[in-house]
Amino acid sequence: MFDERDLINRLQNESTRRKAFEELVSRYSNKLYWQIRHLVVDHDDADDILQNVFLKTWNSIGAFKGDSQLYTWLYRIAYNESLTFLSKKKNNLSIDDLDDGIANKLESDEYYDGNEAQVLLQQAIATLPEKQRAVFTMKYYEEMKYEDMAQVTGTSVGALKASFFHAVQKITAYVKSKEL
Amino acid sequence: MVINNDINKLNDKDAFKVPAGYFDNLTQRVMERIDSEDVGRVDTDIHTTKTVGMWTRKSFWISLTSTAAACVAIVLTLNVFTTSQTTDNANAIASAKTESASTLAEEDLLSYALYDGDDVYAYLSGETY
Repeated sequence: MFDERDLINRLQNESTRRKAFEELVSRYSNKLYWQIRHLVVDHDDADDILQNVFLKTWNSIGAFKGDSQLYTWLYRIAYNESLTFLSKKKNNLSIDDLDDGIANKLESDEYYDGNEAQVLLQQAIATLPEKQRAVFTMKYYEEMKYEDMAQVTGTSVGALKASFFHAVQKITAYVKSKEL
Repeated sequence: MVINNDINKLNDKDAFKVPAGYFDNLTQRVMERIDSEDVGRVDTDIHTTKTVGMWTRKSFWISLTSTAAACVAIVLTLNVFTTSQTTDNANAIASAKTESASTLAEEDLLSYALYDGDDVYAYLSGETY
């Protein structure tokens, strides 16, 4: 049975850190990857962000006090890294990129195999503000509880529910506008 | 609920793919990147964490060695100067003492030579003269 406290202790001990960190990467990389990937869509971007997440985790593992679950702490780092990435990317995108640009990119992406309707969903998600997008993907893809999302984002449950509701409204409106 | 049903129909979880074997060597790639960008930046909040601190930085030791060399040079210069000055002073004092001693000896001798019996008598009897 997995003992998180034991893993944390080994991570904070210099002589056992490296081995324990390999265990941490092995244990959490899959879950973290998909949470990042659903948010940023592109595999190469997700891979870069995931590696940055582990690098930052390694560099700050001594600061982890065990106030939250290890995974929640990791996810918080991943969430912040992903939002930073999306914010930078948004500054480099034009309005056209948000429509046909994303559709073209996904259609030529060898690691994305969605149909026309699914590409349309990605286009709709891409129009959302970064934080709303993150809330939507956490709930829609990961089916996270609002309480867990609140720990990761530092936002109240009520605000998260409202954010998800507005995201769904915007996406629905976008999809309907394209179907007309 | 119509809105949620519409979006749920679009669910594209299965549309996302990863390169074959991506997760198999991910741990190794992460550790290699940690090694290459390493590291010395492990947070120092916990005392057991490894930290490349002031005492192990190359620049610190270069600065320390340079400062120590400069201090030694200054001390040696001062030492030579002081020793030289001390020797000079010692010679001067010795010379002065010798001179003084010889001068006093001559004066004493002269004084004593000028004393006569009447002076000694007057001194002993308390008479002023």
